[in-house]
Amino acid sequence: MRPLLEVDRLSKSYGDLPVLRDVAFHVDEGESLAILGPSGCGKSTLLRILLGLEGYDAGEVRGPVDRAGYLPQDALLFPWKTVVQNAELPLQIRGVDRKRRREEVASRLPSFGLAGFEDAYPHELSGGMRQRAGLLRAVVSGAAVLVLDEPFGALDTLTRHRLQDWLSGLMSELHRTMLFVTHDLEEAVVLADRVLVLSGRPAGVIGERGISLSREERSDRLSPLFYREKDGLLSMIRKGDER
Amino acid sequence: MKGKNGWKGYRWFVSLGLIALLWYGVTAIFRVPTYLFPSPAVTVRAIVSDAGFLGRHVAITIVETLAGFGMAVFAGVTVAILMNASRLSRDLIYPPLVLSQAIPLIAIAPLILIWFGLGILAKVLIVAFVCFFPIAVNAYEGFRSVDPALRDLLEAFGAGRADRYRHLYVPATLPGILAGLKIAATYSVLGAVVGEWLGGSLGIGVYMTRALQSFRTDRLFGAILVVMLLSLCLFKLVDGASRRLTPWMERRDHD
Repeated sequence: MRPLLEVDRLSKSYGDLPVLRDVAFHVDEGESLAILGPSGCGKSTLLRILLGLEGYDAGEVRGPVDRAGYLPQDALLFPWKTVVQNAELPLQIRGVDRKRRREEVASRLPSFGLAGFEDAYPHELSGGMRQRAGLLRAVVSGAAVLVLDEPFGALDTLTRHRLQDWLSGLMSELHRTMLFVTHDLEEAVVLADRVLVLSGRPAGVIGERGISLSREERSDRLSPLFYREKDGLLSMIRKGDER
Repeated sequence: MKGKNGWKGYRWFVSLGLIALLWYGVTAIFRVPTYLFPSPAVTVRAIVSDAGFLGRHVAITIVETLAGFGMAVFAGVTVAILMNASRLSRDLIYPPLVLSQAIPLIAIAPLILIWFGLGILAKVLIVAFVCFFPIAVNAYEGFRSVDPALRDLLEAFGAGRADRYRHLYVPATLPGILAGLKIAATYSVLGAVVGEWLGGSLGIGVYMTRALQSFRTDRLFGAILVVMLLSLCLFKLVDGASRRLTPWMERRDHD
């Protein structure tokens, strides 16, 4: 496997406040990488830099960041656009003709549980459906890498579990490269092949852990296997706090 | 759904019917002389019997109203765009904009007539003056309500300036602009009538002053009724347009 995205010694501060310090990691093609860290540690800033929405002070970012399929924290659907219009927007901006856009979106609606909601406006959807529509938009854009910012953080626990399992299944079909940030240990274990643990502000990489569970093992949140992974991540975070 | 909407259209008429009934009741119970307070029937008769003459005046008022309204939309949205351009432009434009509303219409309208004559132009300008403020302010608030996170998202999709206007600024500000238009719609006919009242040879306002001078209270009432109907029509027109242009707001209302 070759790295699709490489981040090298990335640093950034807002005035005197350092946010990121020497963050370095890579994402392999086809891999799912979780960036795990406490709330407000600068994870979102890191994503904004990767997406080219914000500059940085030092370091380097190499990869197809201009072709990232981005799912923000709260879906960020356009309230005046229907599900289909929202999903096709990145393709529309890139100048793909209407017929092909619509086909692309329509073919994926069922696997995103949005069939029958083509013409619904965002406020008519549940939180989970909005998030799925946001992900549909990211996937449809044909992006080389999916970038998810705490994808299910705003949802209730039951819906969150359901969507995590659903996404885990979807990813095994899509074979896309995925990079997501989260503060939820379980989310990292369910969805990631590899987890990068960040320290609190300024964020730096504390450690890294590969998750080698099968799909079934990932969805069983109460199994000892699942617990061992969670525990491993937790002790890594604790060690980081002591430093 | 259909039945519900049918009832909703119906309610307007019920509301207006109740007012007419109340009006009739007052004239019938207190036996007010017609030259002081004509009944609905007398008023309608006055409109019908004088329809041809009244119609010519009404036509002029409609032209003035629509032209002034259109001018206010253009000027209001332009000023809102300018205010949205920078903090400096906002701070320079907003205070005089608010001050302009402190000028009493009754003081500025005769001046406009002196400057621009007794013809249509002066009335159009008065209508524009009256309608301009709600449109400009609402449009500006609309621009301000644009979510910066959505702007970032568009940028992440690689959107250019035209895309930003098409997918973000225009749809985000449209509800605000339309809300301003609704308020302005009710002001506009009033503005035209005030202008005509102060001077000129055609228009409902002129018709009103003549009716008043000849103690034809029934005709005055008829003219008032027509003014109200015109305002209502314009309001419904804007309302209909806004339902069509902002369907996402529409469905929100009905939830």
